[in-house]
Parts: sequence; C-alpha cells; structure tokens
Amino acid sequence: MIDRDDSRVKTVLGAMDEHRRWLFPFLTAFIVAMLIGVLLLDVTGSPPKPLLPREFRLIEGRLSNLPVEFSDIRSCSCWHGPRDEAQRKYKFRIVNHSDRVVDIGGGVKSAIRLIVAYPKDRRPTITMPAAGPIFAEVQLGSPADELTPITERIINVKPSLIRESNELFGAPEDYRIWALPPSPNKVAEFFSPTGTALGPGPASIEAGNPTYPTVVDQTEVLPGEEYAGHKLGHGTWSFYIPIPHRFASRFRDFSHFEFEPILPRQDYERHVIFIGVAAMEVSDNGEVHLLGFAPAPSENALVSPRTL
Amino acid sequence: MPGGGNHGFEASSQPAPTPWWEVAYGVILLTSTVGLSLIAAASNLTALRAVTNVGWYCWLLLCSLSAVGIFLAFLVERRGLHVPLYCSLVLWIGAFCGIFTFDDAWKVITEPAPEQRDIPESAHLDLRNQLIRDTSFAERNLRGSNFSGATLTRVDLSGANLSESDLREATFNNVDFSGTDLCGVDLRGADMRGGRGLRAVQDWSYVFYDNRTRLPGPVSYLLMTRPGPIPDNGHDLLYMCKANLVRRLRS
Repeated sequence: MIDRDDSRVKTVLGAMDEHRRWLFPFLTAFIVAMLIGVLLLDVTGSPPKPLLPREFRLIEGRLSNLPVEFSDIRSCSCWHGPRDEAQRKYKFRIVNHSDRVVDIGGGVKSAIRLIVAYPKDRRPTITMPAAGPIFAEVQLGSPADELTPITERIINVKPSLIRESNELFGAPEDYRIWALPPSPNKVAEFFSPTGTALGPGPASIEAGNPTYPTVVDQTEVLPGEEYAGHKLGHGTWSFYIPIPHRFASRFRDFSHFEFEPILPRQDYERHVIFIGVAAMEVSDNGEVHLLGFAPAPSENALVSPRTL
Repeated sequence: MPGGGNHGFEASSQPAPTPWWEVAYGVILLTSTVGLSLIAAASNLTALRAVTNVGWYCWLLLCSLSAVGIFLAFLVERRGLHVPLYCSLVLWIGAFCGIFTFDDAWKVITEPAPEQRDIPESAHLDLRNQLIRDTSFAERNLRGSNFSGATLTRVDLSGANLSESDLREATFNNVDFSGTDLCGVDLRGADMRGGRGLRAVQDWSYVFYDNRTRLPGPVSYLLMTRPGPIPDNGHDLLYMCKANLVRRLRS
C-alpha cells in the first residue's frame, strides 16, 4: 500500500519536475490572477440594495408572523423639532427570523420605517441631517456615554406612499399611508426652535437646540440575530415627521423642557396618525415586502425623549 | 528526465521514501477544504448563506487552493526539488487571504440564538352579561376572555392575565386589579370606578377606551398620561401583546 502510494507520488513529482519550467510560473500567475479577481469582485461585486420606491403596494396582506419580529416598543411624547417637523424617538427590540441580512441603521437605506397616515391632500417632504460632513462632536446626554457627531448639511427626503393599505393598517378612508425613514445613524444637527437662522458651525451649537439622533450600534442583523440597545440613548430610531406649520408652532417653546404637552388623540390625528414601525425590503424584481411590523404604542404618555 | 540537475528529482541519490501520513495529510486537506466549501454553499445554514456571497466563496477557494499548493510545495521540497521563492510567497499570500472569510464566519458561529417567547396557554372564559360575585381569578391566565356587559362584584383579579380580553360595558365593584395584565383590553364603556389597585396594574399598553370609560376619580389621569391606554378616535386600533402577533380592535 505504502509502496503503491510512494510510486504514485514519485510519478506526480516526476511530472512536476518535467514541466517545472512553466508549472511554477503558471501556478503563481493563477494565484495572483485569482487574488486580483477576488479583490475586484469585492470592490465592485456588491451592488447597493435598491431603495424603497416613491410609491408602492405591499405584497403581504398581513401584519403578524412576519420574518422580522419587533417587541418592547416604546416612543416618546415629543412634538418639537426643526423646520415644522416633530421628532419622534422609538426604541424597540428586533429579531431577524428571515434568511437575509436586514439593514436596521438610519437613513433611507435602512429597512426600518415609521408608518404614518396623513390626510389625503398632504404630500409630506422630510428634511433631515445628512450623514456628513461633521464639524463637531458633542455630548448630548442621550446617549450619555459617547459623543454625537454634528452636521450642518440638511437633505430633502421624499417618503414613500403605500397604496391601497388603509384597511390593512386600520386608517380612515380619507387618509393615505406613508413610510418615513429614520434619520441617519449617529448624526444630529442644532436648530433654532423659533426657526431663525443659526450662525455657522460652532455658533449654532451655542445658540441652538440639538436634535435626537438615531443611535444604532449594530446596523445589520443577521438571520437569527436580535438587536436591542439597553443603554440610555442606544437602540433608538429617530423620525422626522412633517406637521403643519400652525400645529408645529405650538411646540416651539417646549424644546428646553423635559416633557411636552399631552395632546388628545383627536387633536393631533387631524394632522397625522401614528400607525407603527415596520421593516421593509425591496426584492430583485422591485416588489416591496413587509418584513416586520409593530403597532405604535400610545402617544398619550409622559415619556421624555431623554429617558429612552 | 528533463529538467534534472542539482535541483531535479532524479538528482537525489537516495530519494526519501514517502511516509503514508504525508499522502493522508494531502488527501485530508484537499477533501476537507473542498468539502467545507461545498457544504457551506449547499447547506441550510441560512445565517452562513446570508452573510456569504460570491466574494466570500472566492476568498475561501483562493485560500484552499493556496493551502493545497503549499502542501505540494512542501512535498516537492522534501524530494529535493526547488520551488521558486516567488511561487512560495504567492502561495502563502493566497493562503493568508483566508483571513477575509473569518469575520463573517465568526459572526455566525458566535451568534447567540434569539430568545424564544412562548405564548402561554390560557382559558378563554365567556362570561358575557353575567353577574359574577365573590370569586377569585387571582394569578389566572384569562387571556382573550369575554366579560362584556358583565358585572363583577368582590372579584379578585390580582395578578391575572386579562390581556386581549373584551371588557366593554363591564361594571366592576370592589374588584382588585393590582398586578393585572390589561394589554390590548377593550375598555370602551367599562365602569371601573369600583376597581382597586389600578395604579398597580402591570400592563396598560394598547388598552382601548372611549369617553364612556370610567375610572375612579383619583386615578382617571392614568388613561391620559400613563404609557399605554389609547382612546378610540374613530378608526381601528392595531395592538400587539405578544411579539409578532398583531391584532385589531374595530372602532
């Protein structure tokens, strides 16, 4: 047995010796070519995931037993914000039971959306801080254990309209359902509660109020993985919710306070109805799938955004 | 044999015999690397399949081929053949590239399984329009029960799970609610002025109420300020008392 193996090895080695003038250069060239190919593939081979379209219809007709699970959902009673927008902070636990990686970070690339309903005649446009450039890092208090990058650059974002879903989400007929993206991860801006222009750069920090950033420490959840931020200010998604100017002006004086007014539901639902938090994904053929959903908790609650 | 000389195979006057373990090592190395690649590609390890992509497999293949090349080079050198330095260097670099597969694989291997939350079994009592007196449901799981229109007098509901129950138009006299789970309870039209321990209710989330719902005066603020209760505003209420189980209360 050993002799037979030995003779086979000798035959192989003999052949290698015979062809070694081209064998080693060929082997080297092959490995180098493969190395370059893999490097190029890594650079160019990961096409970005498609963003949610401006208008779509959900394929799923159900809200339970979806592959992405939300639980322990909380939100703040917060109405003030920049440019006639309310900032609403949500905190929840998320478990990915799907067989795909789900992006749960901030910004429009995130799979996370806040589902709201606006009266039919309203087409909301969101303005939110861009991911950069960053001009300072500031201790905001929530999160308390790290500095938050500050940007001055503001971008316009068009929310997505979800067609024919009023019945599914329990919204009145004269409303339309919209999916709002969270603000970019770990970026905040300073704004003037009265809407006046702030000075550039550090001057804005002196004169303005900070927004609440989305703070997600793990921006992707793998299949079978869960994420929840248990520390103060972590695992929170912040959404900018456009509201009418006259309604927004009621909250200008509250940005300094710990708590904001508790509004009767019939009061604010004339302007916006909070439906819930969802995870959504665009498939290769352009269809939008609901990966997970959790109904919005009560908006009538004394929960300070600084305590989430 | 061509290509002989100082470094040629035939140049060795006493070629070393091939130990069986060298051949076995080569066979095991080759089959295990190829086998692992195939298993990873075809397996039902959804997590691994999700994090891996064409690039990941290419890195693994590059590393595997280089490892086999290193083994062959080792074998060749033991026989007195010379492997050029540049070739050895490239083979080692290729094998080292296997490190790029570690990150994703490590994430999957060390991933803790998500916490399982079982839905407890419960007794769905149907006590619509009943008169219930001097009874204790303490610590009972009454999830999804129907007490609509019922009148409860001197009833102990402490620690009971009443989540998703229908309490519409029910009247409570001297009823203990301390520690009760009221998640997703329909309280529209309920008269809870005779309720005790309402400040100690365990869970108020998604409690659906309307302007006919009555609480004892001193705790009536709970409906407006406590995180949880949601007033009926003319459209359905979606609620979730168990993860991934969304239900609705019709307005």
